[in-house]
Amino acid sequence: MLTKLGVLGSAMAFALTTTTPVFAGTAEVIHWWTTGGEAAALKILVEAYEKTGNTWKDNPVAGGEAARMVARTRILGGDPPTSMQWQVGAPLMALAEEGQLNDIDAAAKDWDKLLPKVIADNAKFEGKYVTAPMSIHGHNWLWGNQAVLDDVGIAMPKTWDELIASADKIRAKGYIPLALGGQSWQEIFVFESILIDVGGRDFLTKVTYDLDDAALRSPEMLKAFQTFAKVRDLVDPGSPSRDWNITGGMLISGKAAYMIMGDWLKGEFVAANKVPGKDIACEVFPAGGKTLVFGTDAFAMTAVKDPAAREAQLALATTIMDPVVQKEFSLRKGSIPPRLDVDKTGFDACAQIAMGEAAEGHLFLVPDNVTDATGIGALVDQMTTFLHSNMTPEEGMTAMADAVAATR
Amino acid sequence: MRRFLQRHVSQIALSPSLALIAIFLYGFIAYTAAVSTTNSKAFPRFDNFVGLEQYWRLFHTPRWHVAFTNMFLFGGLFLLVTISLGLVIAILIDQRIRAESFFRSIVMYPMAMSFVVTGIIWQWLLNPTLGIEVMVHQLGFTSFRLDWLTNPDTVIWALVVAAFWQGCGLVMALFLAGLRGIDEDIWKAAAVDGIPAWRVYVFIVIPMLAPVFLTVVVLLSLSIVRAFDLVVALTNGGPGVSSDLPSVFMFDMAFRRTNLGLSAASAVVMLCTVLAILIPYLYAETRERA
Repeated sequence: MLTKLGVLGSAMAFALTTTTPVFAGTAEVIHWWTTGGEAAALKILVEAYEKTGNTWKDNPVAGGEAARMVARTRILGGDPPTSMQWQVGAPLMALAEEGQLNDIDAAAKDWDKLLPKVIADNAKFEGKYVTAPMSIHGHNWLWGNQAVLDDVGIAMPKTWDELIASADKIRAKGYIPLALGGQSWQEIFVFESILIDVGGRDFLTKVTYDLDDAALRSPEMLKAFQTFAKVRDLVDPGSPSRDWNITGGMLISGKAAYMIMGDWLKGEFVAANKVPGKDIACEVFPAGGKTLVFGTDAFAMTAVKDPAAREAQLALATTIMDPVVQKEFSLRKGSIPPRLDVDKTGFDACAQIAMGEAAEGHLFLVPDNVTDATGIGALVDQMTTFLHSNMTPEEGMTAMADAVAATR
Repeated sequence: MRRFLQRHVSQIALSPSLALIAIFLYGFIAYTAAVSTTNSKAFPRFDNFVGLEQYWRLFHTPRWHVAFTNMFLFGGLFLLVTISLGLVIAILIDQRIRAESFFRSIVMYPMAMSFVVTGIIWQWLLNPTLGIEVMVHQLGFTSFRLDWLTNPDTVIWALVVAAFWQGCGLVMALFLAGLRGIDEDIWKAAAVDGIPAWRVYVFIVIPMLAPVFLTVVVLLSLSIVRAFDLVVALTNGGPGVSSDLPSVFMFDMAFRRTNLGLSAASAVVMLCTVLAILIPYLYAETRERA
């Protein structure tokens, strides 16, 4: 027995040494994937990466903010990790402009063809890829508890007018129309979907990307605030400051009919044995808005000089973009793969809708990753202040436009 | 050499800690002030001098006004409630009651909790769909409402209640120690003169506790300016931004909004506020000694 194991061991050792490239390196990676589904997804990436002969040195930090703070501090201290989880767009460019990132073009020859344009554009600095995108999460999803909808006798609404019109029927049956966790990061998903509803993708761009003063004071904006004011009556008194997962529980248990939240909410459905797309209906909202607001999970490559570390970075980039890794990862994480050529089999109905939207070019990068953080932050502050006050839509619109103007 | 050492031993012993304080306290205060005059975003940069623009921007940010006003509102209410009730509880316990240590422990125990735990406990208790309101409804009083936490106008009271619950024990203990230090003869003399107990407290005992009051005010004031974890755990600044405090604002600007310049400006304004309160106190102290 022992000799057999010994033979097997030496055979494996031989196999490993022969497949190991010359520049086997170690990638120290800072990330914030620590919970159940996230860790299972990460395992796919780590195993695939170690098969390339490189070593994955895990450095998990719970919580995105904390992880980014650790990474930033390490960079400032001159001891950057090999790679770190970092969003594409403005946060990435801020790092690149400081000269803190390496390009990975050697591993990214055909990425322009594989990735949606919006992701490719935002993953590059001065025309060169500095990050490898792992997964996408959509934000403006409307979820509906199918049992509740059936009991009330309504279908999923397509627009905000339809949603608000159905509220009375829902309330008459004793349900809460909209489950909302009253924290600004959750409320902004609602507000963004209203902006799409009143003015489409162009209007959303003008307001959240350009922070355009004329758009912020336009009739469309007033209409958006009028609709947003009605959200105050769609929610229950316990809404302010409630966490998203507790709020999700209200939808799953059938206390509430609808919820607007990113697709990570699917993890809660699965944990409660509910099938997304069947027990919990899903819809990119408003339907026909041709806009899926999304955020990415990507791995930025720091400006390490050591050749072995450089090779480790390139191998990591190649592994991340491997079609099998992309698919298996997203299946476990509940996200969708950034690569457009991954086949849809095995994904749930909602993920398939999202993949269709991505293929149609409907992706819209979350404003946090595009717009100046102080400007969009002022908008978010006024959005949440309005929702939790008795301000009229006119007052709310002016207050928001003024606050955004002050940040210029 | 030996005489030099003998004469300067205290200075030599103190100099390492002085150097540390100079660098890590005053050095970084100066550094923060310098950052506040730049346009730094995610990383501190000094090639982008903008003068006092960040301060102008700060005072044109509606959320800062909310946070700054809240500090005084929360601070004032917290001081008032905690000192007055803490004193009353101390006086009640001082009446030579039975099972004194039992009651003392009840009041003291919340102090053992961190602000984070305190915040979570009160978040649940004050939540209108989980906590006290639901309990009273189940007892049959369905018109009862306790929406402090979800109403932007009253959320500051939720902070005050939680902070009072946590801080009351310390205040009570300090006052109790002060009361026990009052000379028994004063009470005897008052009894001989037939003065009612409440008058002895109001006109004699409480004025004698003035040094205790000062200690309490300083201790509580520091915890007001530092208050951060309580807000984060209890309300996270909500509903909306109505329960924001300057420390929460500063953290948000530095680490979520990656705007170090603005964040540093808010830190400097906070420091100035503290100094405005402390300097008269320090001045009075040094004058007394001189």
